Amino acid sequence: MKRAVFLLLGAAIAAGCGRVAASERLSDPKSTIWTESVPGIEVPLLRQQMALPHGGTNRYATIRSAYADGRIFVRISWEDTSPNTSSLERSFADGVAVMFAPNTNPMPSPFMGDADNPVIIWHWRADWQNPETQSAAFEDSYPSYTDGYPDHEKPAFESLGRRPSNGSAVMEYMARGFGTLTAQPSGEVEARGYYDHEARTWHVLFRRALQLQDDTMLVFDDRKDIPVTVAIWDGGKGERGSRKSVTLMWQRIRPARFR
Amino acid sequence: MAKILNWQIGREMDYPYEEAHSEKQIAFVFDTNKCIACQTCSVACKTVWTSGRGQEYMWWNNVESRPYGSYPMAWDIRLMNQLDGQNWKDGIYQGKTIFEAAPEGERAIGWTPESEDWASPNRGEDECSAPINDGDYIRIPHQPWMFYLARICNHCTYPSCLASCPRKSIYKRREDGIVLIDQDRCHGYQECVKNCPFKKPMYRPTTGMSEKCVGCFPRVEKGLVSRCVENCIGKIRLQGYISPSPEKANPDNPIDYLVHIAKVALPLYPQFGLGANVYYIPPIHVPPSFSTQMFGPGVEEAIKTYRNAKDIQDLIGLLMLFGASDRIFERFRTTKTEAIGLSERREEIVRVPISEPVAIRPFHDAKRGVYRQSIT
Repeated sequence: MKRAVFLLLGAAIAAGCGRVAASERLSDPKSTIWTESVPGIEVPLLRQQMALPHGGTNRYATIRSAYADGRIFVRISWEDTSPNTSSLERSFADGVAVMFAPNTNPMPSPFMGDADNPVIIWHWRADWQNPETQSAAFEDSYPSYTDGYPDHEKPAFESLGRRPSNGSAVMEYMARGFGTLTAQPSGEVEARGYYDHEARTWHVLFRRALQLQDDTMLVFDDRKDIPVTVAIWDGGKGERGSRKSVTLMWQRIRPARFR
Repeated sequence: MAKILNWQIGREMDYPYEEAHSEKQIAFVFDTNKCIACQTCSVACKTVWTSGRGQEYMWWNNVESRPYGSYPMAWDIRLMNQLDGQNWKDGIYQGKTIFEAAPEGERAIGWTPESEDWASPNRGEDECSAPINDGDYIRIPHQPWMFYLARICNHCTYPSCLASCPRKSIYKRREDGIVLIDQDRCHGYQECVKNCPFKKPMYRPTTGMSEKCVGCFPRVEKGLVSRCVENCIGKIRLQGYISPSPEKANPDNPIDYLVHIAKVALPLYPQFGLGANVYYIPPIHVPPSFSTQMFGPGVEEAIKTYRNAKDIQDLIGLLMLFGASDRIFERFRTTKTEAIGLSERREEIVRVPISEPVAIRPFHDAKRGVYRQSIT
């Protein structure tokens, strides 16, 4: 009896440890758990040629995803001969974005959503992760700023809403078609990139809780597959904005389930 | 693509947005014959607007020494190399604008400057030289020649920056046509930097957004001229509002008068098709073959009129009003002896003499016991 209890306890502890360990390993874009335990799909991306200005390269990316510990993990990998992590010089930084459909019936247009049916986009950029080029505090960027309107309690605009704050490397957006990208931060999405110099490959990991308390627009169900589209920017080729490589169609990903 | 009637090129042209005009259109006239490149304008602008981090390289107002200087490097040459056949016939531009010449997948022809291209704003100031050969003597017009080109954002009627932004983050103000980059919307794609022919939108790496000359709009809203205009030592600048076409020109409006009636003030690179609103009185000692490429076919007539200014009362009077007030005067009138700048409602803003009184002093001043020598 004692032995049976011990075995049961042992199994419970092992299962518990397994669950936490998977989540931790999945949170690391360079962890081997991704290639060992998470199947992926290779998706083709095409040059963006629908909205001006055109740009991007025809290329492939690999998407692996997982549900673990009440969260969704999406890792996107693509080849890039040289990493561009700074936007201080003229070149732009490498980046990747993954797009979700809050409503799947009907599906929104895969081209940045449409007026009736929005999309949610998580966008990671290498210069947002780079401590040298991360977002500066308002005072650093505008040291001479004085609010000329004495009856305003706060400055005319408080945050540099074009880039993530607080050391985050990811921006969250909503869109309803070309040119409508609007920041809509829940603050709960995290992203981390890793460049493998030997394989000349970027791996970028996004993670978020399946459900958020304050923001119910995008909810994940860990029993279900998810349609996504992906966009990739090679900063060294001057890719930014609409000059990007995109999966033109929704891709169905099947996240591995870790219990 | 919509069809726009651009009076500066004398014909219709393609533009991504429908014809639309602001209630008033801010405009400037710069007299290149009076600029001494003291750069007071550049420093005034920098002190007010571009003294923050990430703005160190920016000169929203710059003065370049022509023919060799440019900021950023070769901004006009690099664009004109992409634009064939910039010919005119009877005042109508025969070639393509930068929108019409745009390659597939682009809004306009353009190029993106590297960091180094911004690094030599005063290049060309000392390069203007030529060997002195035996038997040479100085003659007027002298060889070699040079002139100073002061530049700000042209607050174009058909801006390329505005047309190129995929997010519509750039707009023209309804009240005065000043072009602004919305710092709440800009994502730093730098399409505006690439496609502005005059290279006035500038990327600011510390904010990840681009910025440009704002026309000193807080001053304009109070009826005051921009800081660059106010501080100009040589009084080369006039600021006001221009009517949308020559047919609507008002002879009492200073800018209309110089641009549409006297035709001494000419647009900058009209062949690009942007309807730039900074107009230049061309340099009279520069060979017209050079100036015509820069200011269009009206150069020789403009120079002829300018040389005769003293016989044209309104013209000479108006030229005396440059730099006379820190307030924008939208109307003017002249008498034989004075020029008066007026508000839109014809209230007097400033009054200047057309010629200063002349005093001739005797050779011997008995009171002081001195002899006056003429040393000029």
